[in-house]
Amino acid sequence: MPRRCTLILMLLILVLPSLLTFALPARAPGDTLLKTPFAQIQEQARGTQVRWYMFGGWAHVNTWVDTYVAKEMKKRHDIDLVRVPMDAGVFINKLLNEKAAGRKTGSIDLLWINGENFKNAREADLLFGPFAGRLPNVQKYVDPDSITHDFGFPVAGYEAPFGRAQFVFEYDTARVQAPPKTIAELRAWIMAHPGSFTYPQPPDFTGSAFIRHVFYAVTGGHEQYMTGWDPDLFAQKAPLLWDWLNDIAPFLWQKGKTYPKDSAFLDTLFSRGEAAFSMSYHPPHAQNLILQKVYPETVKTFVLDDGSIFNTHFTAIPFNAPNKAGAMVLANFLISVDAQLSKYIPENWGDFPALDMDRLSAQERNRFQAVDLGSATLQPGQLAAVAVPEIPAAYLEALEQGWKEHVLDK
Amino acid sequence: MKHTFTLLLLALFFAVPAGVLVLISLAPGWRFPDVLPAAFSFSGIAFFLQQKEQIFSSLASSFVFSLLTVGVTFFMCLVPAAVFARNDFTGKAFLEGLLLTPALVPPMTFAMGLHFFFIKLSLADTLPGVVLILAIFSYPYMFRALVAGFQTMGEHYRICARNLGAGPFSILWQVELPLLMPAVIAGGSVVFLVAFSEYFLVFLMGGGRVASFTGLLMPLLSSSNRSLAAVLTLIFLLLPVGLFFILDLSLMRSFRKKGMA
Repeated sequence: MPRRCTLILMLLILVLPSLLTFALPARAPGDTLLKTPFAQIQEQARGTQVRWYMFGGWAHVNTWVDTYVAKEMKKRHDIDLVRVPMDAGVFINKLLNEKAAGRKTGSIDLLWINGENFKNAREADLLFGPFAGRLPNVQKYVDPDSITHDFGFPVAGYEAPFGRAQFVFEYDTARVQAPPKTIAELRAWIMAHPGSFTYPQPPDFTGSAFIRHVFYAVTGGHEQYMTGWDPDLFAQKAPLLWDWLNDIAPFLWQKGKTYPKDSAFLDTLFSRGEAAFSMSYHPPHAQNLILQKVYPETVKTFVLDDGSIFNTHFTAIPFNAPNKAGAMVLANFLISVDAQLSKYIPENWGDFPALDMDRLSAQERNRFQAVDLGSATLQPGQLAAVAVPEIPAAYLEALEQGWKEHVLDK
Repeated sequence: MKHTFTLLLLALFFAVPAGVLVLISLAPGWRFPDVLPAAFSFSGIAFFLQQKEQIFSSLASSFVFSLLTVGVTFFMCLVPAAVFARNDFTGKAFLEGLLLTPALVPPMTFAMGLHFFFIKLSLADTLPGVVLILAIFSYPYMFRALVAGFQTMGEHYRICARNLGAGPFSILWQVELPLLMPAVIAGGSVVFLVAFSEYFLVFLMGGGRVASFTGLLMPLLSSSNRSLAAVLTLIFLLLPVGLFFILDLSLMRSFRKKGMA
């Protein structure tokens, strides 16, 4: 009896994988695709499926992709869009393993990516390209100068622009009448109101962006860091940031002994009234939460005069994407005027367009200007007035590690 | 009196949090110092209705791979458990300890290496791959339960059946398996729950091709809308609780029929 059982199990284990190889899709055409005219790529992609792996924590974004994008892709290109929720860190690990194991045909067609994940993916040669310049909508509507670098790392056409984000603070007008206007005023406000300010713990995306704002403000502006990583400069300037953060720590929520683990936790503290400010790397975030009835309607956003960091987020195609043609068609659609406009409407998402408004026709520009961003969102002009670029990724990583050592563990 | 205390304790630890979840799912803006939410919203429910296809398909997928994992762990453990329960040999304690390690070691430590190996075997991104990794990680629970089951059963039933002329297969099928049922159910329940609530392994090995409910739930848990997370958590609770309820009921009935309870 025992032997029979083990035998059956062994057989099962042995037979299953060989059966599965039949189910794998055929190998995708590689570099020839980059020389193929786009009309032909569109034809090639007709009737296929595109699997888009993206962060799944924003219900309204999921809904926008599942309804608007999926429907339009089907209607315009006869492509079935499958959205797969997966954090960028996880899919980078997955691709790294697939690369190491020599898997030629993966399961991801398109990624939603930027920043250090893009840098890591490029350094491990995980991406297909350069394809962005091949997309008609990128050629037509995007200012090439606006997409040369992603967190200081050269883009070189390995990702296509998808949207723009900029950092804002959120406050409730029913509780705070006059929000601070500069980093110095913020510090004074925190000292005057002990226990009501905090920021998400870096390396959380939003918390990490917050300390970069302070870093720019207390060390004399962003320009000095734009040329790339300089360890001496960092060693000289970083202590100013640690001092600033340690000075306010005793006046923070929980006396700075602990920090919210991510921006969602800070949002919860803010919506419960425990924290006076929240922050987001997404200008329409407050309006989205008002629409979802998570925030009261009295919530507004503001930026500091010292500057507000913006970045562009992108889509990219993995080296082993089974349907690269379909992925290019989707990436091209996402940067089209129609998709960018639909994405800009706060009820859908509210994400800022990555298009160059000067390249649009007057009629197209008017369609963007007619969008009602809601009472909580700042106007593009107000945001553009204080916009400053992201720091190169090496500084970002050094700041996140330094924060743990010099602020949290102190 | 003893019962009321137990019930109160159960209510405090299980019913009250579930009630809070129901409230949160209806009131995303519930804030201090309101004891009850000031305003209700149906955005959580609306989200559920809108996403119900994806929710149900991922729920079904999770259910299927969890049940398959229970089946695979059962086959994996049946023979070793019988051997461990019936024999004494040198190094038994050591080997038993070794066999339990997958449940004690964090899955991260072996998952990345296994992922590489599974890609080589074309098992990554497939249902069998997900079931196998979950089985490797959760079989100790089945193993422990089966060893205990074999020990409680003892040798006498088997010897008796053999004396009456039963072959090894009918001994297993007609005598031992029915008697092992409670142990299988106990071990299977734990394995099911472990597999059903596993996030990382399923995600890594399923690669987004094998849908899972945790894969849907996790990103929303870290979103700012607590309503959505609450709605999905309630659904997450409902399935295993419902399953155990049905299992318990049908088991009691079948035992009663056989006059064993």
